[in-house]
Amino acid sequence: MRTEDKAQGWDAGPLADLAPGALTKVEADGQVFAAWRMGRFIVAVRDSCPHRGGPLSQGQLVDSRLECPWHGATFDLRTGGLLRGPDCPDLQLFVGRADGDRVWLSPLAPPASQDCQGDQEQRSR
Amino acid sequence: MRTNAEMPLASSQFIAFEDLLHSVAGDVPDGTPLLCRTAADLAVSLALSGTPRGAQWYPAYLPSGQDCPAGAVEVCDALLDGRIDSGLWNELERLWLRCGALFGSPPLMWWYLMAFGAPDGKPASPAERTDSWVAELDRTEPALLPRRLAELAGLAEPASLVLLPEASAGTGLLGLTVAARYGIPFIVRPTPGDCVELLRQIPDTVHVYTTAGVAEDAVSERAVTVLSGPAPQIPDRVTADFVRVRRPEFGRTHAAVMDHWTGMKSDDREAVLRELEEKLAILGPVAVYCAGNLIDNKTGMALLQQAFTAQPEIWDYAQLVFLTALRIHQLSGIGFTEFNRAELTLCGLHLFVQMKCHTYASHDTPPPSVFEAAQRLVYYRQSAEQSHVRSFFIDGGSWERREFLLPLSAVPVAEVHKRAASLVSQEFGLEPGPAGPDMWDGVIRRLAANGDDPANLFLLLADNLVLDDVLGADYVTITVPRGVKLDAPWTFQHDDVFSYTAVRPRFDSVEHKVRLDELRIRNAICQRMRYNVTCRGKNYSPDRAERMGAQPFQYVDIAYGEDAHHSGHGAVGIRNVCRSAFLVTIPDGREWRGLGDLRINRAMNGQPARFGMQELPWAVAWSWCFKAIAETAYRLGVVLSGQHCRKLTEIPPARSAKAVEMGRGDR
Repeated sequence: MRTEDKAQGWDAGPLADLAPGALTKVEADGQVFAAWRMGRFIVAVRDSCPHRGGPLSQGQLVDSRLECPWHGATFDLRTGGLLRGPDCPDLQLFVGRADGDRVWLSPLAPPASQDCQGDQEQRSR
Repeated sequence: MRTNAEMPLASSQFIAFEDLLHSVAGDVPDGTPLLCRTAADLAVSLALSGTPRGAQWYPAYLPSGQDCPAGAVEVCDALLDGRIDSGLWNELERLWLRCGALFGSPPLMWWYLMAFGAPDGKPASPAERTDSWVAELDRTEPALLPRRLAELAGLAEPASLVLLPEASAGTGLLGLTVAARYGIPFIVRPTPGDCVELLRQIPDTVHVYTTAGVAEDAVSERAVTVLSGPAPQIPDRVTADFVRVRRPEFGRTHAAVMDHWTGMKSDDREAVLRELEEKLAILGPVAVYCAGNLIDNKTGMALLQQAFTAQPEIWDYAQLVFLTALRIHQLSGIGFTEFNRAELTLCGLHLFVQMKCHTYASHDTPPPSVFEAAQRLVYYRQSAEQSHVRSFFIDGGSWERREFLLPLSAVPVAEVHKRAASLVSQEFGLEPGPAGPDMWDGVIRRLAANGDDPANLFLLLADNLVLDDVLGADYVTITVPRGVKLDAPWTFQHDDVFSYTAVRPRFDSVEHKVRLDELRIRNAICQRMRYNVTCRGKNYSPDRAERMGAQPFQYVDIAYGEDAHHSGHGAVGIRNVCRSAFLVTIPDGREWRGLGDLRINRAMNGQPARFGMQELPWAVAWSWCFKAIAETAYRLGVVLSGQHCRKLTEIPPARSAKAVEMGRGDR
């Protein structure tokens, strides 16, 4: 766990660790995040899919769309919104701010949420 | 790209995305260019610009690698700094995906109507309005199209318009951008020839933006602006199919649907609804959108039940669309779950059925009604199945299902039988003779004569198949009837069904986050397979009530995310699967579906573990090899031993020499 500065958010490590356009697994405030550096913005989400906890940092990122490696829940990382896949809540976005050579994460207001529909009936396979 | 000098048009000019990008400040002093890097972003941004909350944005496409010009804003930045309402963006992005779910991407004209059609105070959903307008425009005289479209979009009498053929998907988005930017009608016709025909009927005073191909063929000396790239490419999944298909008469779709429902006598309609009710009760998970609402099995059943007591004339739009989709499923045999995650409309259903007809039969004559097309589909499919295996991609997470046809010629039957013959020779010391389905007759006769259990053939092949490099499996499960009660499969009990699961040697349950150990994995899978066969056998029961409760049949499929909603699959590690269900022919010549299948499973999640077209033909060929063995045994009156028709108490030794080497033979 890195040092915490309440005024700045949570220290998520060196800026140089975040490759532009790619997903990077980072730790901040004792939690694991998948961070995405895009242009002048850094966005992070908890590294746990709201569907079944899949490791989002290992997901497939195409443009701004992140697909969970476990069950294919696909989110727009610019909004946190669920686009397709199993019904589950949207992602909570955290915004990263570079201060010197370090990145500080703090929560962004949650997006207009789509209620979790929960698992539907099981299939007879 | 062609240049102006190459164009044989006297009064033409070009407009490219770059022109739109750089001219925007001059054209629209108060607007802000919104730069999009993908086709989906551009489509969504255009829809956003058609809303009151997004009217200040003027979207344009910016190829990746190009820097954002001064004064313009990228979508990503506008979303993240809050200048675009992320909730509204999400809503439009989901709508774009739902509208394109059946077609790869929505027909752009429909998207234009969805995004820019003025709601004129009616409470209808965008989907319902669009459906109605698509039909109305189809009925409109071509020469009157521009004016009517302008009325629908709340525009003034058009002095110019965009006119494109359907096939120009990327240019279509450029055209849509032009239409949105200049507030002019956007018209898409099925072919370049249709566009040229329409051009002839539009007054020369109307300025037209179109493609080079249409401009070249247009005979008039009118003012034409040619749209040129670079244009964002819409990812092509099935788009090519829908643009190739000759359009049904959408103008008659709604009336034909209503005629269908109202033309039935009350008793007949009630009987149809009753049948639909029974179908819906056993359908796999339903997740479709009607009038913007998610309809699942429960809400769908409520819509259906309300229809019993109301005349079709007063059914609401969602109810009409949902029941029509169910009826199409009933008449055509289209898997209802193929509609999952799609925003259903009557015209969309009509186009989808027409696409299916085209896929099966390459017929280019649209039948007059969607229901007639649905009925014809049954015959087209039967014809297609003479040369193809009907197969599906299944997304276990979203319940989406997409059909595709695997050519029989791609299934390596001969190669698989050669391998099987070689394994039999090594294991049993038998020379099977010429490799092929006929070799099993001699093999089984000799095994039986030697007092050897023919079930060991299944074990041998499955134990080797789990080591097959092509398939890269963790588990292989083969299931067939044991060979008793074959003339009455609805009476099957679990111990009438043979099911064997081979597990890859040194498979590590913990590494794969599988809760059960190997013995319990084998038992859980095989017991479930035996249960499935007993439930599917009931499809043939003489008792109607029993038939109605039977499990539906399965097809060949490739599925991923199989544990997304299924706790049993999670417990045993059923995640990425390739399944090949096969018909079982019994000695009297009858064919039973649902009793035999081969399942190849990878217990890992994720893209790299997904099966694809490289493995499927191989799996199908092996399943046919197992089918040949089972049917030969039945014909010879040989019953498989009961050892693998019940739970195992210990893991049997491996039949594969390689598996023995890897430590599986000495248990």
